[in-house]
Amino acid sequence: MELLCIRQWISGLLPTWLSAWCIKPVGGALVRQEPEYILLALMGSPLKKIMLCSSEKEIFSVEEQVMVQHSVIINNMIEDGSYNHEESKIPLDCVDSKTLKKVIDYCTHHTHHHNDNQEDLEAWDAQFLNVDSNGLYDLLMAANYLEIRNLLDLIYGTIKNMIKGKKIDEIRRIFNIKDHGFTPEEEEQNRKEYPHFY
Amino acid sequence: MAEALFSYLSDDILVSIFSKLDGSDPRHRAVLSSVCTRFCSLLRQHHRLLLPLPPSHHFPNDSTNTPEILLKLHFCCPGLLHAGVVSESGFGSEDPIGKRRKLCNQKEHLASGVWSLSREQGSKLLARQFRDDCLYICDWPGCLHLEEKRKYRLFRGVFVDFKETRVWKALNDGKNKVKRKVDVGGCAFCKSEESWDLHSAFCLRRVFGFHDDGEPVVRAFVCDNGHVSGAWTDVPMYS
Repeated sequence: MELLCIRQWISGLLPTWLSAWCIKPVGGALVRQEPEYILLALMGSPLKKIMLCSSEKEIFSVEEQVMVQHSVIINNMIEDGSYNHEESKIPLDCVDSKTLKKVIDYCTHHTHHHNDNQEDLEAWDAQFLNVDSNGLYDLLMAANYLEIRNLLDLIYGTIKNMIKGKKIDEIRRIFNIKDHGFTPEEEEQNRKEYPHFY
Repeated sequence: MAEALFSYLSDDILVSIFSKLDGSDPRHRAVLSSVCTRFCSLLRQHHRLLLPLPPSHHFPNDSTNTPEILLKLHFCCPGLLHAGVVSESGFGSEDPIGKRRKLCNQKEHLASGVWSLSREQGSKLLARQFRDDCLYICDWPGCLHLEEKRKYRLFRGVFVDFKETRVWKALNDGKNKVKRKVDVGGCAFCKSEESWDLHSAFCLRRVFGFHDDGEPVVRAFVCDNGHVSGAWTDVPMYS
């Protein structure tokens, strides 16, 4: 969390003309980079990193503040001192490498682009969630485990859109509900009462 | 199968997904309640948090106005029979297709028009001396039925604490109590078999009046549990 304070302190010191000059190449385009990051880099102070370990034992190094901002679980671990930067990696046994990489991408993008306009962020999110059902489910489980609120909300909204306006039989297929649990009489009564919904 | 994974979602995740649905559209709850008993049970447990629809907050533990009945009131048109527009005893000399079409509109069906209930609409229906009674009616224009003689805009609604209302006292008061009971084929929303005619009991605003052929401009019937079915018609331009 101290890194955030440093960043705010630096922002306060910087003259506005410096912001205009803070551009850097990203992916072939020139984009504006927050001046405090550039200044930190110039000062030779690397952003603090943490290590996340997937279920496949692959290590991912990621900026601490990115994960702390988004994941309640990781934030708590770092705040209560149970994470030692020198030695520790955080084991995430229920998140595979592919999913963990995507989660890190999401958190990193939303940290570094939080000033972007809403439309651009939404477009990025839509592209980010353009995955198959397996991928969506894995992301949901990871976001739930790591308690990443905004990613969870995004995924809930996506699943909601999958079922909104659908008929009952279609929703049963989406959720693979083979045994709905109603007695034959109850099911018949429901079909009679709401035929339009089946 | 990829889709199979979604069957493993925990209750709190399902509740979070359901809570994203538009609370003003009662179809969502009706559909989800009918998908499986698990969804139905979750929606019952969380019905005050999820998709809250007025006037459900008035009926916390009411067994005659369960969440399912209140939900049905939002989007189920009572039909011409239960709204007292037609009677069950035949149609006269109509062709078979016309008769079949009319049968479809006789009984309950999915309402056209708006699916929200409002107290304001209920206040507009009742005579002044009943203005303290709380009646929720579906918003204008109701479910439109084009019949030979005129257009009927069917509405439905519910009284809060019906047995405590002045309307109930008025219906049960005096010698004409029996005359106010009518047969409209029972209530469309509960098992109640008898209904009361609010118009002949002077519970509706006097200004509504009658058409030239004697039909009331507005009619409304209420069952013993406070469920209201009725119909608006267009007020004649020239008397």
